[in-house]
Amino acid sequence: MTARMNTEAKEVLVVDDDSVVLKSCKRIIESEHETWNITTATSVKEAYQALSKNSFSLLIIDVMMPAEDGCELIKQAKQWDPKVPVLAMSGYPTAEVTKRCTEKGADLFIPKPFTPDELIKAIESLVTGG
Amino acid sequence: MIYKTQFRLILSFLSVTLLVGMLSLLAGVRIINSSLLTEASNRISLDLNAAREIYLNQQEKITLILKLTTLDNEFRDALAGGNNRHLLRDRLNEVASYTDLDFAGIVTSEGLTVCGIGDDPEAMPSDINTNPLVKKALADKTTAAGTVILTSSYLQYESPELAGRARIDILPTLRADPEEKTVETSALAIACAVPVFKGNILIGAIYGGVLLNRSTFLVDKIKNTLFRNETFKGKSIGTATIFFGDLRISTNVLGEDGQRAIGTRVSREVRKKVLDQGEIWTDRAFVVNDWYLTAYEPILDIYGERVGMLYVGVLEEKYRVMMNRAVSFFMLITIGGISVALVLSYFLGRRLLKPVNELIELSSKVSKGDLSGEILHISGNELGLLQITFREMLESLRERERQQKMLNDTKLLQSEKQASVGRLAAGVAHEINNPLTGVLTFTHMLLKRKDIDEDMRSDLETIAQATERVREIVKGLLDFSRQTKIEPVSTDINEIIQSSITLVSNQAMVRGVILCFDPQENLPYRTLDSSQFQSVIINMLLNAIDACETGGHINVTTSLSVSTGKDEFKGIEINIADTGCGIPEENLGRLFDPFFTTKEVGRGTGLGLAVSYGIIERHGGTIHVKSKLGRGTTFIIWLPLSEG
Repeated sequence: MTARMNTEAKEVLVVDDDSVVLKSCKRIIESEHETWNITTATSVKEAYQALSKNSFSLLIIDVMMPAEDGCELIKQAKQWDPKVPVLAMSGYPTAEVTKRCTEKGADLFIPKPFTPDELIKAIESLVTGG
Repeated sequence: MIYKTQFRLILSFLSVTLLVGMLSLLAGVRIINSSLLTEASNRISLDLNAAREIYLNQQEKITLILKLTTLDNEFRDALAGGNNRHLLRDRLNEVASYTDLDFAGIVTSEGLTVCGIGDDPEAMPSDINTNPLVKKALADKTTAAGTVILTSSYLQYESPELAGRARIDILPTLRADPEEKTVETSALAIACAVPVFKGNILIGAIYGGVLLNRSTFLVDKIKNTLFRNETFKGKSIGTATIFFGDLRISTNVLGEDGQRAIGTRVSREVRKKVLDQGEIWTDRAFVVNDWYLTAYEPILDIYGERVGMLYVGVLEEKYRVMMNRAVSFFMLITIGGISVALVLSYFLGRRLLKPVNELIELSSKVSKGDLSGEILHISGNELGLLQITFREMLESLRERERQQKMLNDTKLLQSEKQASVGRLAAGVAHEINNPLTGVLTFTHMLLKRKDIDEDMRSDLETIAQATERVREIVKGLLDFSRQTKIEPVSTDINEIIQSSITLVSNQAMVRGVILCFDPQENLPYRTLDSSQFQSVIINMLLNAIDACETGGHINVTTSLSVSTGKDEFKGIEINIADTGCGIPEENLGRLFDPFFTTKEVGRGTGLGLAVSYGIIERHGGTIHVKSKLGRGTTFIIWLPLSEG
């Protein structure tokens, strides 16, 4: 949580079918990084649209959306931009799910629910690491 | 296999009966044979004696009448005077006709024939009579009687008709001695010559006799007297023959042509024994063309020479038929015996082998896994013991199967329960986690604000804590439901237990509970998911600590053991025994059900044991509980050494 990081503007894309989760993420990140620009998508389709328009410096993707495969989205995004850090999340954090996310290219996995601090810590480890 | 045994049984029965039957048959036949033969040969000897008597009787009859004739004075005077040939001739004819003489005559003391029978006295040759009996009687001056051989020329001298009757063609005969002669012209006769005296002076002799050649009178008399004309299959049973040498000259044995077998000859053996050696033959002999039980004796002439044979015989066939009948009867009895033995052995064998068959059928059913069979009747013999043992075995097998089934049912039920609850939990958890994220986020966001008063902060903190609890419950549900594959690595179970004990030792200390571990040394390593296994041990230890009051003991032991339940599996047993409050019996059955808990709200999710059960089950093991209320509880974890 350095001053440098706080001031640096970043484009973040959050993908989740649940608006509560999207709202929560947006609220947590904005409270920590005022300058960051948060884009949200409620489906994989929306996510592709956003990805084709902008380039992002962080992707936060729910891998368990009804009828959609977040893992495939991770794989695709990593193909387009291998350097972009990807944080995968899921409300069903089993070992299989975690393993699959990692295989498809996710850099970190965070189980839902999480506290604001836990999310911030995860994001920071990704951004500083990248 | 079993049919072989029955077959053997029958076979042994059969062989014994056959053996006994055959032996008795053999013995019976021999006894019948010998007794019949003895009887027959005894009888035939007697018959021969009787025949001889008849033969001699004939001779004596002639002698007697001739003697009586010589006693008459008129006759003597006529012979002495030599002038009353008519009287002599009449007397002679009278005597001859009375005794059926074939030849008779009166001679002077010089041996010159005075007269004969039937002839014209004028034509009568008055030369020397060559009859050997006459010669003997005149020479010895005493009666001469017996069997004589009369030559062809003498017969011719007596009468040509007599010579013709005596002539016999010799027929070729089987088994007889070779013979070059083809015709017999001499004859055998029974005759007698009586000297006639006037005062003490020999004045002549009277003689007479019967020709045996072609005569039927004697042999038929013998036959009729001894055998009463019995016949068998058209043949006379009894036969009699007079032989001249070995030639049949008077007989009622019939040849193949149905005629009297005159001209055939006796077999070589008989001839040798009777004629050459002078012995009596009683045995079976081949007569003309049949086998007879026979008796032969030599006929001696007046000089004591063996000139012929007297024979009586009984058709052997009659005895043979009798014997055959007896043998058949014996055979019938034997066959009957064998049949009875066969039937008996069949039924006996079946009765004997029935329980064995039943046992075989039952065991083959059992070997196919069908335990429904039942032994209905217990035999009273040694087989009964086997049957009882088999029945007991069957019952214990059934009991075992029933127990196994019950165990499997319980396990299945538990697994099904776990699976369905797991699916439900997964869905619920997934759905709850999203709104929980919102609640957690915004509660914490509010808590970060500086402009809220203390009351509100306290309220918000309560919300945050409650939400944390919800999060824990959901996490527990997910743990329970997760289908994580176990990641087995070779593990020292003792080490895991030791580290788990270290991890919970603080809680134990706080509660004042003493933890002891008694590991089995050199416990083999087992491949298992060590983190999951450790969570099971920790869960059990925490439960035990919770159950204990201050001062309670928890004893953990490990040991190698043979399985509880599955057979022949060696395994590792882990006992976790506490001296706590114990578990009421009604709760024992629900102990591993998800959400079943007796702890106060907030202190347990009721998932710990359910999760533990799932983990151990996935490792191929089992968990059992033994508990006594107020005394304590023991959890027994059993893991097979090789994962089956």
